[in-house]
Parts: sequence; C-alpha cells; structure tokens
Amino acid sequence: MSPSGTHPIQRMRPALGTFVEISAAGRPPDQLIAAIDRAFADIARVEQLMSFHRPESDIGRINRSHGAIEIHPWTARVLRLALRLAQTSAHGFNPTVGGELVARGRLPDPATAFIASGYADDIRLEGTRLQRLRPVLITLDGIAKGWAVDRAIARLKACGVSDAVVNAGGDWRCFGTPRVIRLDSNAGCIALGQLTNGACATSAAGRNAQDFPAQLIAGSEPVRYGQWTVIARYAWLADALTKVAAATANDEAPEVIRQLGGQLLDPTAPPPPILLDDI
Amino acid sequence: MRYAPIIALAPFMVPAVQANQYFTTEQAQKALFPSATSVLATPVKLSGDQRSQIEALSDVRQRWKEQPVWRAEKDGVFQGWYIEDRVIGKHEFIRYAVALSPEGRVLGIEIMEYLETYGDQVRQADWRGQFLGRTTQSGFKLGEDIRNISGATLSCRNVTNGVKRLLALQQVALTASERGAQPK
Repeated sequence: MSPSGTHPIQRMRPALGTFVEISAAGRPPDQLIAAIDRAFADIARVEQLMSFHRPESDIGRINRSHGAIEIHPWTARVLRLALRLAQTSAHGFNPTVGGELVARGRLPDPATAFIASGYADDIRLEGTRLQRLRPVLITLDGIAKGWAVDRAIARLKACGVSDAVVNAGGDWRCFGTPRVIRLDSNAGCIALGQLTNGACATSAAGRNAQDFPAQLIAGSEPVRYGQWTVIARYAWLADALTKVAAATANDEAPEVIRQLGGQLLDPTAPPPPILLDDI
Repeated sequence: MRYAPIIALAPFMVPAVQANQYFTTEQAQKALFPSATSVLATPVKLSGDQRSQIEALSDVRQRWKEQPVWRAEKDGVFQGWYIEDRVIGKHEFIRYAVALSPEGRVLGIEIMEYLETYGDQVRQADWRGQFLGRTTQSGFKLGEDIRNISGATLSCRNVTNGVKRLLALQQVALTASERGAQPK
C-alpha cells in the first residue's frame, strides 16, 4: 500500500534479455498505466541503442567503426560513466572486454577484426563523437541494464508517480516505500535488509552457464566463484560495482566498493554497526 | 539512499514460492487491444501436421494440441489475435499473452503470471539451519518484497521462442481460418 492510498499497478514484460517488472503507485490507475508504458518505452530505447546483440545499435556501429562516429546522447552518457568507472576502479570494471567475451562465445561475433580487451583510454569520446584508438569491442553489459532502470525511474518520477520499483531481473531501484533486499543463493532465498530510495544489484560468477560472466567483465584470472550484492544510489552504479566486487579480493572488496560509492552486502557477515547510511 | 539490515545477527529465509499475477485474461485483452469492442474466443485445435509445420517454421516444438486464441474486433473490423501461452524456465512458470496484428506483427507482449519456486534449493537443510531460530524480528516492519529473478535469462529466451512459435502458429492455423477455411 502506498502512502497516498492508491493501489500499486504492476506490469512485467520481457526486455533487456530478462524480465522487467515495474510497480508504481500514487496516481489514478490510468495515469499509472500510462507512466509505466512510457517507462517501458525508455527501457526499450536503451536496449535498441546499447545492445551488443543488435548490429544496428550504437554499440554495434561503434564496434565496426573506422574513425570517429556520432552516437546517441544516451549512449555517450553511459559510455562516459563506464569509462570513468574503469579508471577509478583500476579497470575492475572494464567496458572494453567485448573481444574476450566474443572469443569465449558469450557474445556474438561482430565479423570484424578485434583485440581481446583494452583500457578506457582506447576510447576517445568528445560530446557525442566517439573514436576507437585500438580495435577494442565495447560492451555495456553490466552497466546499461542498470542505467535503463535509472531512466525508467526518472520517467516515472517525471510522470508524478510517488512510489515505484523498477526491477530488471534482480537489478532494481526504488523510491517511496522501503523495499526488502532479497537474495537467491544456491541454498535458498534470504532477506538481507531494507532499502529506501536506492538501487541494488546482484551478479554471480562461475556457478553455471547461465550466470553472468562477472569474471570476464572484470577480465580477472583465475576465474572466481561467488555472488556479489551491491547497493548504491543509482542502478547503473550498483550493477557495475558487482563486477568490481567480483574482480577484487574478498577482504578488500567492501572498502573498494565503499570508495566507489556503493556498499557490498555480505549475507554471511554481521551487518555494519551503522544502520542508516547515507551515501 | 537509506539501508537498514534486517536483523542484528543474520538474514532470514523468505517463502520458497512466490506467485505474481499481473493480469487476468480480460485485463490483458484490454491492455493489449484497448480500443477493441469485442474479443471473441476462437480456440485453435491443431492437427499433427500443423504442429509439425509450426515446428519446421519456428524451430520450437508445439507441445499442446489446443492453443487459446481470441479475435479482437473494433466495430466489426478485425484488429488482430490475442493468444495466451505458457513457458517453463529453470525455477519458474510463466503465463503470458501476445497480441498479433492481422499481418503477423507482434503488437505487444504482457506477462500475465510469474511463479517461482525454490523447492529444490531449500531442501538443503544444512545451510538453512544457520538461519533457523532467527526467522522473525519483532518490531521490524517489512516493506514490500522485491523478487530477485534468478534464471531469468533462460526463461526470457523461452518466452522469445514461445512468441516465435506463436507467429508460426498464426501462419499455419490462423491466416486460413481468418478467410473462413480452417483446415481439418
């Protein structure tokens, strides 16, 4: 039940390679439905622009480009966030590992020459003009999904919704009512805490073929096994920081994630002494 | 952002089965064909031949002989097909509805029901033991639960394949019946 007393409207559609669920409250039902439709349209737009699987997307065009090309302002924005995080995380998060993922059969072959991976400075981005300085393949797996969630949240807020959750296959963000952070592990399903006006993402590596290849995004060897849940103010950041967590030694990860603006939740450890933590 | 860990000692287990219903048939029809004035049930019975044709066209097996299909019309003008279908993922059972235009274009997809189970996982009692006895916290008011959709990549692909199959079904069994010549 939302603070305003209206019943939430909930919808789920396939998008971003998973199921996206949007729940919204605080307006009359017809307005909520219209707002949810617009939020889904934004998510579909992000997918069209940033999917590695679509040759006609910005990412497809970038990965075949010779010389500078123009990209959509949204793609430029996500790339800028990705490149900056690559630098601040010492490439624990790395958007240039597309070649590595193609070589391992995790992403489709773009039928062009490429190198396995590179660094943030292989990409020159000025405004919406982008140039690859080496033939790296850019992948926004691990950040674009979270950013799509952020777009949808912004759209719902702009439509006057007072209370909402956007959940893209377990990577989610909420505002209004506090939400329970639930975690699926191989052994069952547990609740870790409660989040207000924040985002949460979980990535697993090495468990089975369906798992997200966090170890490949991080480019770290040897392959690590585990599951990382991170909360942050923005879904793109929570999403990307799970990959940094996967690439960082267990004892250092909580501090590294904290410095980058997130909080790593460990289901087996006692919670931190400060219950309310404003980031 | 504000975060509050749920209890002082350890997290607790939440129910092993979660069902979410987004739409009844009637609601989904209204969402996918908002301007339709009539939606008429025209369930399709498929012959063995037709099921083979569907599989040949879509590379997806048509497992059942009858598919629930409705015709949407606005003031007597045919608008498209409303079809309900289901797929099974790794841990979930999904019911969804697809709207197809008369030309065989996908107009919209809505998930109607999503059911997750964790039965096989929760049976591992050893792990669970460490959380037993700490299952509730008095005075702690829970907000609304967020589903963490595990295995969604797999079941999402199953929905994509399901839609592919329904597009083939339309070619094989619906186009003909639209002209009033449904093959036996």
